[in-house]
Amino acid sequence: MADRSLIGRKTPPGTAEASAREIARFCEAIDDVRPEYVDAGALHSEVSTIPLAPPTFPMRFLFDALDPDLFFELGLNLAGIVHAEQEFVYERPVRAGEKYTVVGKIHDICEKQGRSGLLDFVTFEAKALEEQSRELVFTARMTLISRRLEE
Amino acid sequence: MDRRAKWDEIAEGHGFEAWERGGLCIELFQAYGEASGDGNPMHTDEEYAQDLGYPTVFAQGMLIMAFAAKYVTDIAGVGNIRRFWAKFAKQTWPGETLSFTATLARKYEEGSAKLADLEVRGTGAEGEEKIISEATVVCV
Repeated sequence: MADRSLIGRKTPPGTAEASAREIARFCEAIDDVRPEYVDAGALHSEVSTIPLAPPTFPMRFLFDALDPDLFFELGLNLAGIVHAEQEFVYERPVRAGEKYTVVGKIHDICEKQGRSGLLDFVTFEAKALEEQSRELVFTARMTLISRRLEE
Repeated sequence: MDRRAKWDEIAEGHGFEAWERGGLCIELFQAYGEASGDGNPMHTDEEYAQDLGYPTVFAQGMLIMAFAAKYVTDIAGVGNIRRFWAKFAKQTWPGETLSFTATLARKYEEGSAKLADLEVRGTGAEGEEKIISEATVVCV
């Protein structure tokens, strides 16, 4: 089973950028193009003139920024993984052009008996800090379920 | 469609107007996969999905969460979500239409901020829950 002693283990810090071009592409793919996301010229005066990213956009860069070694150390059955839950806690919106330092850790590991065998639940947490100011911008938590292979 | 909620005008238990999202197809899953960097072929390669025991490809959970985020943003406005959580309860298959609904579970003040907790659901044609979600939003 996944080794519960890995709970709390951190990844080395990675870097990521919220690219304006990638935000625009993401918005087009989900058919949610708004002036706040893609066209700074049309913004209302009371909001930032820098385009913002839609709420789930951080997935685009988040997990690429993390060293995968810790993930592979868990020894999950990769073919049997499904994404079960996702959470974001935003201190403020993600802005186009910002660079982040991303630190990941294993938040929780547990096992549950499913209908077709044992299931491993693993929750990863990633915190994104603005690179220059070190200001925390958001925390993301992703829970994966992996169907255990018969031993 | 403007669903912007005014904090003073809504009471706990208020149900927001539903939003239907159709057009779910393999081309959309491919476009989302490319734009989001989620390269898992179980969402885009029919043979691969069938080898894993699924009848066909199904939507990325994060694509459905992106639709839920769009719906919540229509209610709360851009940049006003403080917390957004989702559980992917059931797969969404090509050809399905999802209906998104939200209920105001709680409203409260924190410092000068007027906050609202929304319970959000995305359901299929038979009313089965595909996504169960919670959002905490700042209101005007």
